[in-house]
Amino acid sequence: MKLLLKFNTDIIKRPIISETVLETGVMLDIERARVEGPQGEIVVNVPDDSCREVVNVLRHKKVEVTRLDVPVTKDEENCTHCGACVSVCPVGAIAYEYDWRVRMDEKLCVQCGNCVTACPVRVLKLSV
Amino acid sequence: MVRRTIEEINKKIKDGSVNVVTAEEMTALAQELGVGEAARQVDVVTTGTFGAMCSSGVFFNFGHSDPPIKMQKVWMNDVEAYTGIAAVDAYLGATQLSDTKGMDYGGSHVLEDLIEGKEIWLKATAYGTDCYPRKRIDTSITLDDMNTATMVNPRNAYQKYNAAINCSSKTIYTYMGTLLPNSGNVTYSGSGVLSPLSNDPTYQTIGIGTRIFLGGAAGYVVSEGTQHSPSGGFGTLMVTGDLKKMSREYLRAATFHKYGTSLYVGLGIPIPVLNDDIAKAAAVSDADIVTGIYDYSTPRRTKPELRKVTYEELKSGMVDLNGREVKTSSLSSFYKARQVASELKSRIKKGKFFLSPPAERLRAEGTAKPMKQTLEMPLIKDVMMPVGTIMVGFSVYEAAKKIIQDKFNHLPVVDGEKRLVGIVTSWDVSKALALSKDGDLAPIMTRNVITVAPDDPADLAVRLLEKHNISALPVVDRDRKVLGIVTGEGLSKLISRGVPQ
Repeated sequence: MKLLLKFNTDIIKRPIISETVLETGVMLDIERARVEGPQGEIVVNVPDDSCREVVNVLRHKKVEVTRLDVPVTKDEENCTHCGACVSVCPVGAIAYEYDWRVRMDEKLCVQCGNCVTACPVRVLKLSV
Repeated sequence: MVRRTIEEINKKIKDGSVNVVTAEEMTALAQELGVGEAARQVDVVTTGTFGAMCSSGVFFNFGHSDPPIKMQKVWMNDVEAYTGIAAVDAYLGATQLSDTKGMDYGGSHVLEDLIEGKEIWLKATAYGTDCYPRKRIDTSITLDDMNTATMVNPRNAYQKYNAAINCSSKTIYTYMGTLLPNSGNVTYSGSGVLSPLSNDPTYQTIGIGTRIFLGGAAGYVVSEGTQHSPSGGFGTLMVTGDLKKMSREYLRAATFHKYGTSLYVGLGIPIPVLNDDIAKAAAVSDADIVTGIYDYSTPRRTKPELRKVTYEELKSGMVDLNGREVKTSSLSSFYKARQVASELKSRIKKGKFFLSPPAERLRAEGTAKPMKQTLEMPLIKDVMMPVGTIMVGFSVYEAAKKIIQDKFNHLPVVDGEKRLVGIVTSWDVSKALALSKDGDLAPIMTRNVITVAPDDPADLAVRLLEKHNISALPVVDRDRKVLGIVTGEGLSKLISRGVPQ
């Protein structure tokens, strides 16, 4: 399960991820992190069976937690299969198929949004 | 040796016996059977491309209103079209942006809306004359309501195109799409083996008047395209067709993030196999078509070329750059290019599309010139000022003293070899002193300094100041040694006074 964590000004200086790992003993796989101005955003991948525990601990520490159930979606009908999204994907979730259609592997998506801005015909959308 | 005429081929199209293959099939066939045999078997080779072709647009005739108007300015869904041609005619370019929606909507989107049958809002203003008294018109209009909608694209069907990379440390957004920092990806455009002009690079069959496939309808080659540079393998075509007969399957509006709008055009050209030479040219493969990978982080006309590359390598998904694998992807759709070539093939086989001989040949040699610039653009070294620096390790108090002494707001911080490591402004220093943080300068300085080089154009400094919302840029040489500084204030004085020649 992927979680989007938002850190506000009050808590941004605290080592919350480390605290959470130590308290829960669950390994958090950080897939994306961005700190801009006074706010920070981190996407972590958490094992499904420990998800509830981790979410509770994070929320207790005043982190805004959003579950990312649905990755970036692609409108197949309107896609031109140009591939402008392919090489900007940091995790190789988008690739050309044998017939040069562009296919997205939603399981690999880390929702960075690179492909959404790169799409010239606006058929890719972030679900959150 | 095979000899055919276009008349003979058209007869075969009529009686259904014509043999047509796509350019991809032709390449395979020639590799398998040899060019001579492929030439003997194949009458027509179809090509196709589906790329973002910015230089596209449509001439409209709206019909006369009552009372009549001689349009002076006209907008279609808030996108301005050029109407300095006739009273109710206008040319809408694909890259013109909406006055209200900016880059999200442009001329290309108006064209896509029109071919989908949507109503668009037509607004025009005029000064009014005795014969055309009306000064304003507002009406909703569809493609069917217009008398004519003639697509005329001044520069389409690029034979091949530069591949793009970004060697800088920041993401850039270009007409070649999103380019990731530190050579993170390579983008390219063009259909390679299917590219119309790469299949007839000496213009033996493609010329003025050649009937082509354009946006799903029949179109024609008007002339060589603007910037036609056949000598370097960068030929282009000016083409025309009837927008009313086109379909969204082969014409799509595009927006390139932070660049602007463009139009995806599906364009295919049939190549009649009149002799072995033409067959040989049409047997070209991706491995034969060579382009260069250029650093698009250099915002100049001439960009550094990192290496040559074939379309075969580009299409493999990875290119090697000094031992490192860099991911590639296309901006034009090869999937759709194939669809164009196949559709054209099918129309010819069904007797719905006949070939036409060119009325005139196109130039197979020549190169487009760069612009003549009479007012030379100043360079950074012409506009920079000297600047004092401070060594890292000094205190905030000493920086304050230096700023007061030099009467200058920006103070670059350098290491023992005079190389730039950071910058402090009078504001940083006052803030630190106000908070009683006199001590080492290092913690308060900005380390990620945006800089320019002495040979960069002054325009670049203006753009960087704006983009990063900063007020000064240190000028550094290749070793990051500080040579001077340019400030927003300095540049605006320069602009208001006029540049000294």
